[in-house]
Amino acid sequence: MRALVLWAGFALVLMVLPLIFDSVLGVSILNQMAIAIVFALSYNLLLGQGGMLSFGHAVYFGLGGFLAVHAMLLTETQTLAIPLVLIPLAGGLCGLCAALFIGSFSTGRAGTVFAMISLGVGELLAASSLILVSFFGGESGVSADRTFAPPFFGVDFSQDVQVYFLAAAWLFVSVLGMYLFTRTPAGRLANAVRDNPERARFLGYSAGRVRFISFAVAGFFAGIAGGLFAVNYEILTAGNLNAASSGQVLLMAYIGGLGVFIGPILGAVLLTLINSLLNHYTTLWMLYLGLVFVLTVMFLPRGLTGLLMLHRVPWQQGRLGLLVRPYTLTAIPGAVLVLSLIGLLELSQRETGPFVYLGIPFAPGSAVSWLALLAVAVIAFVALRRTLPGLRAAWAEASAQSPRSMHEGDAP
Amino acid sequence: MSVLQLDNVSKSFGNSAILRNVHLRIEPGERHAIIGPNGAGKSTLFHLISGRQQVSAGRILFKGEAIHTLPPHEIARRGLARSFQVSSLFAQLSVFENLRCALLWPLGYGYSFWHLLSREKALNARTESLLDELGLWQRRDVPAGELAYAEQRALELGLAIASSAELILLDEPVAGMNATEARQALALIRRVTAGKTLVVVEHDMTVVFDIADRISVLVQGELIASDTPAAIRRNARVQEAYLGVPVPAGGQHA
Repeated sequence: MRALVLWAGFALVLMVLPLIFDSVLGVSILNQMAIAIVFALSYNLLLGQGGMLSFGHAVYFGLGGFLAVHAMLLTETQTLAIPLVLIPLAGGLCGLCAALFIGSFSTGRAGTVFAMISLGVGELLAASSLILVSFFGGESGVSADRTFAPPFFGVDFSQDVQVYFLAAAWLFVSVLGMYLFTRTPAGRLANAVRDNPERARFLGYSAGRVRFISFAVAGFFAGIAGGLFAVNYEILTAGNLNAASSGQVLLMAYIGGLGVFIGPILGAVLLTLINSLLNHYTTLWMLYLGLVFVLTVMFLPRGLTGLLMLHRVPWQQGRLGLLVRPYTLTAIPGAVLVLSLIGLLELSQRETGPFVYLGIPFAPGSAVSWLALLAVAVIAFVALRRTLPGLRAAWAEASAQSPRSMHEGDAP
Repeated sequence: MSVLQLDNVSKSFGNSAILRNVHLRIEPGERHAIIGPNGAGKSTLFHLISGRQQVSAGRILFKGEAIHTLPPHEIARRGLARSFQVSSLFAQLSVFENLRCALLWPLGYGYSFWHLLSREKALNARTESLLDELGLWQRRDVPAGELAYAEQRALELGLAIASSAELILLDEPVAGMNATEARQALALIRRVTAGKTLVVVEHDMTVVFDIADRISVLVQGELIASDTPAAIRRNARVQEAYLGVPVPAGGQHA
């Protein structure tokens, strides 16, 4: 019952979102998010759920996307009339077939062997995408026009918001499908094999076969994401299946958090925002993205959702209030430090002319600008050093187990 | 017919022979202990039987069929289960999920991705009763990696017995436990393995003489005796090679 309410709420949010963010940019970002969420969740079936570190997941996304574009082209040339709403499924089936083939020899081992094979296959595909021109279209890629497809109940998908509803429907079905998969024997065994492949063997399961199933399912949903990409952008290029795309989805899943089902959703939303908004403001956005990733790996190995989950114990014990003051006290110098460091980085990027940052004009040539930012950064750093111990102490107090909760197993 | 039969089994790594020409028969319903000093090859013997390692020579028959060429998961499916000396659990999964994973193959789920685990009433009921039997129901939702040592050992045993296998191999089930814990663990082992064939590797002589109705002694890769506990106590070669000190007839064991 509770689950039903959650899913209905999810569907409702998907329907309401384009009414809130109704600008051209808003809808375009929502479409990107829908694609990214499906892709990131499919990746987490490998890494978070199955313990398979893939450096080539964009292969299945890209192949699905290319096939979807070709399917749209078939409609365009009136060879075959495929409704646009089914195009993502074509992409999914292509991703599934590719994963069945590549998984058949790459899932026997996890760990380094699997990672290296995924990297190799990814590079192989990226290289052949420039050679096999008839399928991949060479440097310019393959493009199609989605409006040639037969109208779907009068909808011709000429507007982005129409595409949004198509993408949202596929997003809903895909999220539900992947969630349900994690609740099946095959999905649970994927977790078991991730934790301890050897023990799974002695319980009657071939670890390789378990991984293979997860791999195929992940390929299928990555293909759906690729199909959605094809519908949305009407073009696919070699860039969609190269290592950079594979890296992007790894970042999304990792920053969002691998341990919780919704983690990659959060990561996909956040990174799509960073990708599409930040590059309007700075040329350094890739650097910031990299820094966020490095800091996540170093300080939040369970990602952003992992950080949120840490608050569960204090919340259950009603002690979240203890954290408000120390959080505020550390957040202020923390934010100042981050902003001043960003200021320094941006300043170093500007060659001439004034540079207005947070409403303050700075000049790359002036020592005052540099020294002022540096001084603020140092002061903020010192302040942060002084407030952090208070936060740590508050954490220890808030998350200490109370005597009552230690015996919660006794409760019915 | 013997449940388990080892014919002339040898195992060597490079030039060093770990096991030499081991012959062993385990009859149905037997509770068999394998003892021997450290490095005698006891754990290797288990690894060979369960398919974790390959025999260098000889053959292993389970219910009359050769299993020494099969991978571990196929041996397990035939009804041979084992536990590990160092607990080998699914660390991030809850105790309940650990046990449920162990029940999936025996209950015929295979690699199904069309069943929802939460809807499988019989499976979940079996898991709950197993939790109860192991005394772990209070720790039902705790990740296996966060359990206390004795609890991990109980779960380790649970994974081995969940499948209702006919033959159960337990590798040092009470190692590292204090006397009280060991006594409880033994009672648990006796309870959950009732009516099954049991092979135990164990260091603790109290445990061995308590639980076994036959004992095999392995010394430097060779099986020097395989007999009833009373006969093993009297066996001069065993006393000399393994127990070290002579044991008075009918007296307490070393």
